[in-house]
Amino acid sequence: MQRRLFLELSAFTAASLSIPFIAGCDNRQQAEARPLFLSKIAEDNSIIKTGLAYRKVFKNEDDEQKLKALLLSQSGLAINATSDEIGQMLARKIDAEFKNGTIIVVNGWVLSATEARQCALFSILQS
Amino acid sequence: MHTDARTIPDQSLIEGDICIIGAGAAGISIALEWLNTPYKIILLEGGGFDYEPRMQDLYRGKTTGQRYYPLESARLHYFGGTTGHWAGFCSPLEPIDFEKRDWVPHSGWPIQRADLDPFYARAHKNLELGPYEYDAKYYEEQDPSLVPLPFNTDVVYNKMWHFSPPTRFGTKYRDDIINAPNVHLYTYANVCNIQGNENTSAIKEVTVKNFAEKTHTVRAKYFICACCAIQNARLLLASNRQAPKGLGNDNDLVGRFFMEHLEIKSAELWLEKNDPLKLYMIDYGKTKYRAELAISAKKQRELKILNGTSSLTPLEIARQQPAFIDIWTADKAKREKGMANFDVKAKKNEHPNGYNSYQLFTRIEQAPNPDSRIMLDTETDELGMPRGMLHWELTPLEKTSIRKIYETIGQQAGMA
Repeated sequence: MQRRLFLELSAFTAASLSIPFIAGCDNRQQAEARPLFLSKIAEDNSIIKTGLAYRKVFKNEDDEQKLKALLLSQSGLAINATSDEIGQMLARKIDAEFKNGTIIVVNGWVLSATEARQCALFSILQS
Repeated sequence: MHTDARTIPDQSLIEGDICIIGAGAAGISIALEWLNTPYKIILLEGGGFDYEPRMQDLYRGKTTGQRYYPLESARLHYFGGTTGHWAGFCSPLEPIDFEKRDWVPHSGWPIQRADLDPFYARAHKNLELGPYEYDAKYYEEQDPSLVPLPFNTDVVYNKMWHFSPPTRFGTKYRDDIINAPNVHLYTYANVCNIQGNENTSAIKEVTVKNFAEKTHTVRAKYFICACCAIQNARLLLASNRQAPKGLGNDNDLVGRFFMEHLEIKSAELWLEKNDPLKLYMIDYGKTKYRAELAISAKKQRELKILNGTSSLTPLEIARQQPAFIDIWTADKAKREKGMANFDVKAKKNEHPNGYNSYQLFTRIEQAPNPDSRIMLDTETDELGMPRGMLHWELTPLEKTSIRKIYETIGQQAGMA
């Protein structure tokens, strides 16, 4: 089982993060599907495996549009929200989920539900 | 005073006020409390002053159930006892450990943690530890570089551990014991039988034997069994001439509820950037104290789990260190070689700026389990005493607790 730690949440949205792009995805999709912290410490293969494991357990969410809807649900974001705005919203959502205990252990990682869904979406977009 | 029990006439009668069976950490500490008093203290040690394979073989025995260390090497059978290879880790039990907890069968002690505090403070001196102070804030104030992880301490707090040099009782207190006029240390005096009074309500005398084929009798007003959890039980069970199930075993409890330090390396903590986490690190032989991540009593009650703490080891180092149980063999030379490599690998991989990933080495209490127990074998040792047998058994609660401890730490890490 692996654990992770957010030391500087504010850094997640900083432009200086060197996170590789998901091939064929626009900035908005990048923001939705790329679990920022996990991307810094784990290989893409590990994120994909985590996403596949999540989709296997939550079969009703094994769908790109469904996952996107869940990730952006109750976000209050405008339809034309920028990738930065999406990234900031997801970071807040992840923070809140850790605080209220909406966490899940997938493929050995302790993740917030949103992070787990990001992994799932990532695995779909990479397939 | 010291007497080698092999050199006195066979069938000697040794008499005193208090007889302590076993000269390890407990036996020697008790004897030290009685130095220079009017009482005559008899301290019995089965071995001599040094490690001897023939003596260790008296501890040999079968193990079943959960994998365990070879019995002949897990405990040491000479003056100073197992402090001879002890690593020196010390931390007091917590108040919740003594409480009756409805989710832990057979839990609850007739004493409380506060009852032990005066004794812990005295033990600190014997073990050459620092002040009897276990509040992490005390150490953080003394050294600002000891920065705690930003966790909610109502959930995961920093439990302090102190490190003894480690004190080898066999060398540290040998002269104090030998030079004490009222303490009579007998080496090569293996207690093989305890004889009770007529109704076995008290101990009348004990029989000691050695490889010189000498048998002696020891009488005292009070007897204290201090020869470790395994050997204490073995001795009581083997003293079955008057009580067929063993002395003091009317309720079939002697030897049951065996517990060990349950340790497991099974989780990792990843940081965004390198951090030395100095508060949590150990430089073996130098560090006097460090913190481990512990689950608060309130959270333990909420989750209905056992108590436990997790230490942090840089993953880069931890990955090169095998589990202790894999390198712990009955062969002393091989064992020491394995342990030496352990430290060398740690030194070689040290990084001054810290690391971004750490392994969690978790040690938890065991749920009291009557089926985890010491029994007697039909095979006897060289002195004719039935060998001890260990069946170490865990319950599902240990596994659940470890998982929930990690999830709790993981949640705190995510929140931080």
